[in-house]
Amino acid sequence: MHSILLLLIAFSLVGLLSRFGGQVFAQRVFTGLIAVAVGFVLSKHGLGIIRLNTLDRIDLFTQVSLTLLGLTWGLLSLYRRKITRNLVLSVISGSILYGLILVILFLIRQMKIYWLVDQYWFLDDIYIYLVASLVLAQIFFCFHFSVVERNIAIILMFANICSHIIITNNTSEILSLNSLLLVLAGPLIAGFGLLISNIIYFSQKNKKDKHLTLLIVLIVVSLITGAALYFNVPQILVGFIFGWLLAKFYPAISLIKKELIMSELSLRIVFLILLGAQLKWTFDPIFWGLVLGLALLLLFIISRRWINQFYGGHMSIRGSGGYEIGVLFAASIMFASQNQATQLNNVVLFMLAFSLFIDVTSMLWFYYSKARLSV
Amino acid sequence: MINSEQIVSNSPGDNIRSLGWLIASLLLSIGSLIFIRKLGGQGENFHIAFSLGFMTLVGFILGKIVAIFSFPQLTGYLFAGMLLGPSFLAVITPAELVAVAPINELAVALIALQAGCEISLPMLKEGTKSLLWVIFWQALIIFLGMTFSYWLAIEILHLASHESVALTLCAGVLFASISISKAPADTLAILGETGLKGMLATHILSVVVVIDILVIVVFQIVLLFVKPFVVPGAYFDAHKLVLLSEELLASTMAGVFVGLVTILWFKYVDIFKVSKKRNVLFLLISTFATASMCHYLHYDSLIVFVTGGLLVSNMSKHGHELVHTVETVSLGVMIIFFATAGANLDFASLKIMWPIALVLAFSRIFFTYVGTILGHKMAKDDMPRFKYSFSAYISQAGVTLVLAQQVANGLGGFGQALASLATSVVAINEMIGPVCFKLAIKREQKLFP
Repeated sequence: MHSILLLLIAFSLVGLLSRFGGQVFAQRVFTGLIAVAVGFVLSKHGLGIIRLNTLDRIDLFTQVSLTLLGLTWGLLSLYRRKITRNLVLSVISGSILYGLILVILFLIRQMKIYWLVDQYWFLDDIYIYLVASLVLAQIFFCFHFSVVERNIAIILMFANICSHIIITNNTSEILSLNSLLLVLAGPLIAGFGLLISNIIYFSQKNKKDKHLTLLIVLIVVSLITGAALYFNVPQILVGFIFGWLLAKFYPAISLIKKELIMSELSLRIVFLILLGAQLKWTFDPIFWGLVLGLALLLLFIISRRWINQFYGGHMSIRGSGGYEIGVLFAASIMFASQNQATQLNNVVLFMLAFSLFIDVTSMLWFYYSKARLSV
Repeated sequence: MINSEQIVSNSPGDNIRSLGWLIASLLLSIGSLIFIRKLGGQGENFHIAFSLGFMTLVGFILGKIVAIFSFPQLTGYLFAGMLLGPSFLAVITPAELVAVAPINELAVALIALQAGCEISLPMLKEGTKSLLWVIFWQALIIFLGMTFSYWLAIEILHLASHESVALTLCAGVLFASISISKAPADTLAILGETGLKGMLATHILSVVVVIDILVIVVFQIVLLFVKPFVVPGAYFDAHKLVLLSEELLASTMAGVFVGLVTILWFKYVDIFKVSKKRNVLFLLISTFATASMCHYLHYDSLIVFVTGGLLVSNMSKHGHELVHTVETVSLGVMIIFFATAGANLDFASLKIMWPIALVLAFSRIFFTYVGTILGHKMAKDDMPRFKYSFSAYISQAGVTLVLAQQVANGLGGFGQALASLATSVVAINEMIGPVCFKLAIKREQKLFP
């Protein structure tokens, strides 16, 4: 039991560091990094304070927090700027590129070009698809065009999830009705949550009670988390769609919007601490994550001018905020699918190294440009 | 906590419309559960999040439905637990009930904290005499009366049997010590729902809280004496009494510490102009952490949090702020707490033991009434004012179930049978108690508006 207490102390420490740690620690990337590091230090690989039974004990909180985290992103996505030409272009180009990479990977696998497949020896079989889609989501998310921001990452996240559902079930049934139903399960569960929330809302006489509204949403979040896990749909996706639906179709959302969005930081910290405690640290995925990060950076440096011309806007490789999407998403799958833990652990490590590299580099780039401008 | 403004008391048309929506949501929830079960296959189990969400949802809806018929909302929460629990529909399994233990710990802590905050020392000082007399007479009469009732039920009415008269007496004394306990959670919930404030509310809450602390001491002493008669090879260990007093003292000190930290936090929020919305996060983290600490160090969380709350409300000006913060989070936690309590009620035992359980439950209500009236008479209180106050002391919940569990764990087969009987009696008291208390308050509010 006292390990839960220590976990809470760890959470408070990370929170305090991010609050009082000055400009550097206030960056999302560092808060996240500290949280993962704290989790690692407390885990069985470090001080051995957070044990497996502790994680089991708080499994309920972990899973519900993930849905809530998705919900806050869903809410946030709607309060971003409107869709413009750039976003449409990015989505189309992103989707084409995403599809192309998947096809190439599929062909590589079909043609049994082992020397190429061997490059991914740390990953098992079809998890290449997952990594590929996650990396793509990450890449697009890192390139912050003026209006793209979260929306594009979220669209790609949806594509990832579809691939995840197909992967974890049966690859030979990609076009079957069953897999289509599974792809639709996320929106269906979220829609069910919205229906319940609205019916209860209409049964209330005091429709402006903030606490009651918050309670109803939390109850429904718990319900849809369980349903998502039951149907093997990542709860972060269900949470995201539910958040988006709430923002659009729930009359009382304005009462609780602020509270829900404010909880994002706390949820993320808790989740990253748990993630740090869960990971098994191996070198290979980290190494390849860093290599891919470096390759992306070089690609960016080479093609920057061309991309700027193509989109008619200014593009910068700002990673802040991009960090959590890929890692947390991969981790959410890891938390949900205990039976493929090793492979997913590698996916998370890979994403962690890659994202961190991008985020830290982009931040240094940002400060360097700022310093140069001021000179 | 359940606030008085949430009471449904509008026009009949509004009530019918609201009832219609509530029944629709209930049907939709249950229908979707059946649909999901069919879709997912019978073999697969739900994740605890689903069961918990479902239980809370049904609790919430049933709470609202029973409120339309002027019943306490907590009765609806209890019904939801009973309905979905292992005794009936078995949507919630016993393993899932164990998994929600952290939330229940949080609930107990929040209830105790709020109970501490609601007790005003100046008001308590005014009614000290009355409080002491009521506690004394209630504890004494229930203890003696229930021992006698138990003996009567076994030896005269033959509703159950023990190997010897000595064992009957041992069981009777143990059962009587458990019978003294009350349910602060129920009391707070009904007080919150009816909006009863002032001297009477403080008096009732103080009696309930003090008796629940007292019962822990009485029970441990009785258990020490009884164990050598029941368990072969066991002996009277006086050292355990020293340990118990040490734990009580340490719990009080820990409560003082919790109170001071809370006061400092509220001061910090004021001084550094931190957003007051962080109070909720602070409350949740500190309460959960302290509850974990109590569990680890074997402190009594009721004493710790009541002392903490008492200190905050009486030694600083932040009592209202703390109560407000607790109220922000407590409704959801309370639904889970009561629904879990409902699910934990052992209806299988009740089905078998109902004759003796019924006799003992009604005996307890009678002795509670006698003890309360006698206490107020001795204190020379204004009798009409306290005429129905005994109804607040009928309910039994968390503490009683914990004590029954201790009996089951410590006294083998003898203990398990006694624990089953105790939980059966709790089931009856929990169904009757809140309803009686709410009716009594309504009557009281009519007589003394």
